[in-house]
Amino acid sequence: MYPPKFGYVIPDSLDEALEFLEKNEDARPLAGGYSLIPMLKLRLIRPSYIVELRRLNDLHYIKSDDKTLYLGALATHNEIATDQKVKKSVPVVSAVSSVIADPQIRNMGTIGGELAQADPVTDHPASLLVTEAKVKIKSKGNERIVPFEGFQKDIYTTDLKTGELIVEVQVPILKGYTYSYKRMEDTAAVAVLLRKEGEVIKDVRIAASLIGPVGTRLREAEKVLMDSKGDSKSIEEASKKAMESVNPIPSPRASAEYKKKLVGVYTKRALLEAMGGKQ
Amino acid sequence: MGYVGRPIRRKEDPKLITGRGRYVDDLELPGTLFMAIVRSPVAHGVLKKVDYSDALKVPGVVGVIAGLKVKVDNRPENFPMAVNELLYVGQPVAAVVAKDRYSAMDGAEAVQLDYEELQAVIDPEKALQSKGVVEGKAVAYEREYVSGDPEGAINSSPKKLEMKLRIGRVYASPMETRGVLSVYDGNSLTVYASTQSPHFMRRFLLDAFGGRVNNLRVEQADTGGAFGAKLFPYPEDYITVEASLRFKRPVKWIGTRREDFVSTYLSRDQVHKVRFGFDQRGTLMGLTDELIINLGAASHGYYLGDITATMLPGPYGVKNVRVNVVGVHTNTTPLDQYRGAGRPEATFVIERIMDYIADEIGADPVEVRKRNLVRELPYTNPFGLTYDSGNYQHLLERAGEAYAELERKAQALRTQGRRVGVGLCFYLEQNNFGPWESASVRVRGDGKVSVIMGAAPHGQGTGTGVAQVVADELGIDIDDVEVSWGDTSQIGEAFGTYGSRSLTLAGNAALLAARRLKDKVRALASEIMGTDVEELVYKQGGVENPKDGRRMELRDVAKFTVASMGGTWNFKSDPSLEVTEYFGLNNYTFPYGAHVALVEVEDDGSVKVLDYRAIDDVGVVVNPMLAQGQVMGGIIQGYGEVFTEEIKYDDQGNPLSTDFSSYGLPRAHHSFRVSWEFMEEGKSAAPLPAKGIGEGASIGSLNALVRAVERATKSRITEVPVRAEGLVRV
Repeated sequence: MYPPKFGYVIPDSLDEALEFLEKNEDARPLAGGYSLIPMLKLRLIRPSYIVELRRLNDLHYIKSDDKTLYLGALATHNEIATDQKVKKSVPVVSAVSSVIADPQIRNMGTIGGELAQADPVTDHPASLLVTEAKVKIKSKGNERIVPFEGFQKDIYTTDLKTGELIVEVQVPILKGYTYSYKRMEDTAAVAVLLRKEGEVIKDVRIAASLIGPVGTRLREAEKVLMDSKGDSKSIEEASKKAMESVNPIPSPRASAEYKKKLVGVYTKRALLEAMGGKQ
Repeated sequence: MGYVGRPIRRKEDPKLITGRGRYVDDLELPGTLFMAIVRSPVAHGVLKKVDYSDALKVPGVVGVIAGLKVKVDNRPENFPMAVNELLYVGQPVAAVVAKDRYSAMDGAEAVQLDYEELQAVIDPEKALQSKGVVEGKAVAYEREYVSGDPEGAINSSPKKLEMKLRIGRVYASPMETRGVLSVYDGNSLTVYASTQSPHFMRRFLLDAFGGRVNNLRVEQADTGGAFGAKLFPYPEDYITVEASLRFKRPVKWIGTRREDFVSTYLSRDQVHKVRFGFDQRGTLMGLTDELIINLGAASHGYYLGDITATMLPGPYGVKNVRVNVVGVHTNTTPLDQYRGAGRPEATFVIERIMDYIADEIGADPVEVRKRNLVRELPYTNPFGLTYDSGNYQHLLERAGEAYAELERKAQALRTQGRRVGVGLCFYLEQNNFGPWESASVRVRGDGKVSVIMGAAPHGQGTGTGVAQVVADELGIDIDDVEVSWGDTSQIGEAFGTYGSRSLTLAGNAALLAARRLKDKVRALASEIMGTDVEELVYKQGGVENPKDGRRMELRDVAKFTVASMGGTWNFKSDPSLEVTEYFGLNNYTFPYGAHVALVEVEDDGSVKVLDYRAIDDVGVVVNPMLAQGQVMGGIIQGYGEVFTEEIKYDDQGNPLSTDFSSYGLPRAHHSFRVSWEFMEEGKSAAPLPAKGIGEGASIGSLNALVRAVERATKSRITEVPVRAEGLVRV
């Protein structure tokens, strides 16, 4: 398809972008464009203006200190997947980035764009939920930091208000955790982050994504495993709880029921792998 | 050292892999207008009014066409546009022509349709009980094939079974969507198209527009895949031509992917209710099949039911067979051919039957097939097809070895608790759908040889195969042979590329033309050399006289004919060094083969192919690298058809598969290693005894994969696609 006519704005600074977005309610910011441009071409959205963010270098970075990894909103999936800081400090985020779609998309797609678009079929939510990441949001003259959990409300719907942009994703650096990420592309995914003391699981975080409408922490499943040794019986039970606690949306290629079952299968696989000690 | 039989790299590739391909949308002509199609938003309805007054006000819009009617065989009355009845989502209703594609799309959006929705029928079995699905009709085609006494044979069989099999609907998924550029200069019309058959396209466009243009030329642009879907007349072909005639400007239409999904003819979509009887040893005694084919909103795909029916007995000797073909209408995109065209469906059904017989009597699937296989060739099947040549038993024995080997592997894996299974498919294919093909071999003044063929390949590499044949025949370097195709002004008549026919038919036409050319060269050279033509032999790219050792190269003969301008031609032989041949065979060719797959079904329901063997006998293999490419591609397409692909609709007939996220093509990570071997026992009766390899793998792969999953999961599978949902194990 071909998009309807729209204006294309190239701001010189973040402030200019924020100001323009605040004044023009139906303007849409454009990062990598991998979700936005198809929607434009299908005429599903009809913004008056597209505001280009690509050249705003102050949103394009990967930094860290002792406690936190800071991903600029324009960091691409490929940059996150290949950055050594990310690999060392939060390998689950790196691992998830590395399997998103294909190289072309990983080169164009950005973490800020992915989260703001809230397309139900994306990978990052699982890794950001298990790491308990935060999202830094800016508008003209204002700034707030919110937990990623709860930021995405529904399909294509987030906590962002008119004039707000995601500027950064903050991921806590967790020491002594093992992780795993298991998925079927476009269909279902489960991330697990786990810390044992001796043989006992002292912290476990499980989250599902790709199944829609938004990524979910699977706390019922986590409870089963807390302070346990993670034997096969408790893993089975946790997987069953995981399966029961999700409420996926069906897609043309997978029913909701199937996606639920996949959450069960991948929870089990991811737990087994994380128990095996992959760090 | 000849070229035939060697894995020569494709001559076509450098251009295509360096971005220098020239597809329809790459063609730019001054003043070209772009056309956008307004399509039916509903599956069924009464069309009351098309109001395009607002569209005409959109800046850049030049004009709108609505209500266009052209009479074309087996198409509805509402063709190429809906005039009073909307028949499926995606059916063209109007066309907006504008100075660029953006304003054309804006214009299309401004066209308003006034319609009253009618009940849509989507399910082919429900269509049988419905009335008025498409222009008042529900059943579009009926034909019964009977041989012997099928009911009697089944009833007197010691064992009988019934089952219902279903083969889902698929999209051909060419990398390039369909597109047409029509150029009218006030006198003659030139149409550039993404097509498999420019000559056929010229003929069907002449039927419609012959009275309005003096000359009509179709040129096939580089075509990015077709798989059968770019062969037959489409509404957009007529609409684009009509627009160029009306507005007297070049008009281009390029389908978007979404349009391609809803407008390009889809395929397969058959239901088979079979009943069969067999004896204790597994010999199939009788078979009946109620075959329903979902033709969608037109009837032109009916022949696929006929191909399926007549090939249903496959390579087996069963004599008592009845197939009742019923083609039904539904409010869906019309059906037509896709790689394999009727033979995958037939093979799937008969091979399922063989597997069930094996299960029922507890016999080895290879043994059951052995018992039923035709032993002597030629053999005329119950519906009059004469299987030509080969040794089915020998190939099955080879497949049996592979099967046993993979079974051993499977057993070892099963002991680890893994869900693995092995599947076998023996296939027989009917090829060489003709009736004939053309080729012209021309020696140019510089001695280079130009071959123009009527076949119209679009990725297969036929140009390389034909160059090998001609270079061998003329004893020249393959780099001195240039093969071209696709332009109706270059060779008189032709059919094109489909049904695994191109090398068999165009290859033979080129071979015969090259042979006759050698006689012309000898005749002319004998005059130039002043020798008796009988003394000259053609050898290694030239003629020579063995008696005195005198020799003249082909290029020198060619140069001689153009050496001087003016003067007179003082030879009895004419100066032309070109020969055109049209070649047809009086029978189909019947290649055959076997596929054996070892698969693992994982807990999440995905299926991993651990080992795959394909064994084919397609007669002479001109280029094993090209052939292997065809086999690989066909198997991956088969994997897609079995596991990932299916066109679906909701109950109202809204298509649910409209892009590559909702329609699952197999991706790189699904692919697997295939070991391919070939036998050359079953040669065709043609001078170049190749039988065709284009479709075998998309036929043989279905049951091999399905059976393997069936064995891995200890279930019965009667449908493709096999849904991962049904295989998941929590």
